Amino acid sequence: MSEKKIVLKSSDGKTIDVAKAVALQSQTITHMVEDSCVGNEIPFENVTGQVLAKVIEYCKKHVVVDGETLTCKTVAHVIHTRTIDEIRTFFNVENDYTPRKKQ
Amino acid sequence: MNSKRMDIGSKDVISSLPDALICHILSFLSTKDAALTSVLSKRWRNLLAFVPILDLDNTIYDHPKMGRRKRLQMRTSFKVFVDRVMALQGNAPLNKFSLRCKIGRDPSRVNGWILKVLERGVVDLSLYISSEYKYPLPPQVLMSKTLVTLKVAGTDEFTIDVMDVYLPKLKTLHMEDVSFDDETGASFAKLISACHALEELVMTKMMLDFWESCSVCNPTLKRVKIYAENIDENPKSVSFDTPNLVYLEFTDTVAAKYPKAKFDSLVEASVGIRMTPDQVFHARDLVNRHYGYTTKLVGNVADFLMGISNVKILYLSSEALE
Repeated sequence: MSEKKIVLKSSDGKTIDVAKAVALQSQTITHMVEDSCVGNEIPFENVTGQVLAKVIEYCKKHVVVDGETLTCKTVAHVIHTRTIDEIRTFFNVENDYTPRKKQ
Repeated sequence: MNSKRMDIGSKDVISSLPDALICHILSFLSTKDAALTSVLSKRWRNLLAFVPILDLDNTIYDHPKMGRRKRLQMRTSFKVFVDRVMALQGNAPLNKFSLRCKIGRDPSRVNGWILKVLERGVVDLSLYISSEYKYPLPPQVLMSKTLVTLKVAGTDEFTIDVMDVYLPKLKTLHMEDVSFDDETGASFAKLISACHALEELVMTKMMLDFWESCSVCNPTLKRVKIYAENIDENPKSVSFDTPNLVYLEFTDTVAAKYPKAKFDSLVEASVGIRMTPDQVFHARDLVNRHYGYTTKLVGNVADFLMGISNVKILYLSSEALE
C-alpha cells in the first residue's frame, strides 16, 4: 500500500510525514497544497507542531464524502445499514468486476 | 472554492481515500459486514486483509427454532468463513479478536483460530464460548506477552486450568460464568497473583461461593467488581489483599470468614453483602429470641467492614444493612 506522502512543516520547525490523501481530508491543508506547495513540503507559518499533529489525528479519523465531513464510525454505520448498491451510490464506487462469462 | 470541489466530484474523493482510512472504517464493522464490502469493487476486495480487528459472532444465527440441520449448516459456513478470513490476514499483527460462538464436541478448529491470533500478537482477546461439553481454555492464552485485555465468558462448561501463567502486559481481566478446573479457589488465586500489571478485575456469575476460599491478592489492582448471583450458599472464606485498590463493587452472600481485608487506597465502594434466605429467617426469629435462644451469627462481616472503613464514598445495599 504505497501512497504519495507529503511533509507538513509547522511554525516551530517540526515536520510531519503524512499520506497525501489523508492530509487532503482537511480543507485548510488542501488550500495550502494548492497555493504554496514547495516541492513536497508545505509550510504552515501560523500553526505550531502540536496543533498540526492534532489536525492530522483528526484527518485520520474523518472522511469527506460529498463535501461533508464524517467520522469513520458514522461511515461504518452507513455501510452497516445499507445494501451494497446503496453503498456504491453513497461512495460513488464503480463496480469494476467483470461479470462471469456464461459457459 | 466550493464549486471547485463539486467540480472534482465525489468520484475523485472516494478513489483518493487512502486504504488506511477505509480499513479504519471497516474496523468499526463486524467482520461479516466488513467482508461484504469486498463486492463493492476490486479495490475493496482484499482490504479485509489489513483490518487489524476481527469481530466474529455466530450466536445470532444459532437459534433452536431454526432446526438442527439449518443450525449445523450455519455453523459450518461460519467456520469456513472464519478460516478464509484468517487465511487472508496471514501473519499480519492483530489488535483485537472477539469471538462469540457455540461449539460442539470438537473445539480444535476454534482453538486453531485462538492459537493463530495469539501468534499474531493479539492485544485484546474476547472469548464468549458456549458449549454443552467441557471446553478447556487453551493454556497458551495464559502465556501471552502481548495480551492487555482478556475477557472470557460462557456456560460453566468453559473451564480454566491454571498451570503456567505469563501475562506481563495484562491490565484488564473479565470473567463471566466460567469455572476453574480446581474448585478450591487456589487456581483463581494463583491466576490473579501472577498478573503483575493487572489493574481491573470483573467477575460475574462465578461459583465462588463453592470454593474453599476466594482470595484476591494483587498489588497493582485498581478496580474490582465481583457479582455473585447465588443466594443460597455462603462462601467459606473471602480475602482481599489489594493495597492499591481504588474502586470496589462487591455483591455476594456473607462469608464465614474474611481473613484479610486490606484496602489501603480505597476511595469508593459499593457493597451488597447479604444473608441467605435461611439466615434472614433465623436472624429475624423473634419467637426463639424471646425465649432466650440466641442465634449464632454466621459470618463476621465486621472484619470486612473494618477493612474498608477508610473509604471515602460507600454505597450499601439494603440487604447489607440488615
